[in-house]
Amino acid sequence: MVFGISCIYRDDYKNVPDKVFGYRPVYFDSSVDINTLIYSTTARPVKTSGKIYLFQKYLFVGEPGEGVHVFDNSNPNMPAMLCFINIPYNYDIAVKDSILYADTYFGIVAINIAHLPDIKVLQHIRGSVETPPLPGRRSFTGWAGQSSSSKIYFECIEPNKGIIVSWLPDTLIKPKCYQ
Amino acid sequence: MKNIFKILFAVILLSTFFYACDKDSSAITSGDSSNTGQGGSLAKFAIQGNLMYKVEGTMLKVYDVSNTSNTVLLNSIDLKNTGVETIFSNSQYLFFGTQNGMLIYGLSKPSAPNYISTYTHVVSCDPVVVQGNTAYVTLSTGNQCNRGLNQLEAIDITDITSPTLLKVYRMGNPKGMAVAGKYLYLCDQAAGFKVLDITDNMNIVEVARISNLLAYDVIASGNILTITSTSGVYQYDCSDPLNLIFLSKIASQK
Repeated sequence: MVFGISCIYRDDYKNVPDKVFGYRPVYFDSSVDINTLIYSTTARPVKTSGKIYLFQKYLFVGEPGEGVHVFDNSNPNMPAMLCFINIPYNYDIAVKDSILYADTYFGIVAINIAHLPDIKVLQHIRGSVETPPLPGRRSFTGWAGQSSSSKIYFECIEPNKGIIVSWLPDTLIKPKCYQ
Repeated sequence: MKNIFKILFAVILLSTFFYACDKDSSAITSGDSSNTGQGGSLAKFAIQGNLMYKVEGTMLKVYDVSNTSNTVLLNSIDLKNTGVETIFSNSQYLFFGTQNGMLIYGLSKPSAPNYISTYTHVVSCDPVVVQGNTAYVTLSTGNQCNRGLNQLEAIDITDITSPTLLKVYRMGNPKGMAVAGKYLYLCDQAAGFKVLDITDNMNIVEVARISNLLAYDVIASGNILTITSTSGVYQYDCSDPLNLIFLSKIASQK
């Protein structure tokens, strides 16, 4: 075991099981036009209520990983569905001066919401892109923690495919990478 | 001349009024004006004035949001702390809920927050809210940094360089909180949504509870509580915190 450097190992090919449970990286193609990913659409029911946010008469309810539901909350007795803002990989928002700032996996976006339900994506500020941890691990590159005795296999990363946004559980054939 | 005095008097009266409102609202909000929205205690964004603070992994990002058409990344600060879960701000400080405890940064230079102190406890995930000289932190199980503790801690931050524990209160499985005046609203998940009287931090007492509400975060804004839970978003009138009145529910499917 080598601590403090990395806990990503490449296995000796002969030690890898033929078929094993593990994870495949899900890539995000950063060359895609942001406006095709972030848009306002018709209101829809809330699946999972995530984080909440109030701005003036609006109530925002996060749909974890997908975007935010917007309600007209002029009357808290009867919040009215207004629209859904589709924002991939979004978990958190903040609003100032009718600009909604939302996190996405590839940074933050600034969206003008002065004319809801219409929106306008103003800016995309790319952040540091960190590979998300494998399920059950705290970080991808740090020490895996106490449970590191049990290997988690994953399909090795190919950086030219883009940045990794999540991990998809799957049965892997002779994976070479584990944490 | 008489008119000028009249106007002057009116202006003074008005500014006192606005000052009073501001002061009052700062007790319950993280933001600083009506142009800024209000989030719950599990937020990773905080806005103070023209600056926006955002936790991204182990980094704190500082953005200039004064120009609505051009947001600028001003600074990236390594918090040197894994698992930064939440951020709470007032005009002087940033409080981070991390897996190792509460981390405090100063805003004497707002674009370059400086490290002040850490209040360390056992490894746990926890949000923090602050009112006056007291920080309230919840520790809960049921996540990857589970250490078997479910409690609310009242922490004295009079000396910001050396936060000290006042008292620990056992809870069911506490998550988000909101503080407003002498009340702390606490989302204790399966143990219910609790209204706690925090007049005396050494003797915090539960004064009301909604037991069938599996809440995990709350915003207190004026007389309205907005609560997010496993079954949807609820709103309650909290004009009388001892008798919360149900207003509406936005049901979620899961």
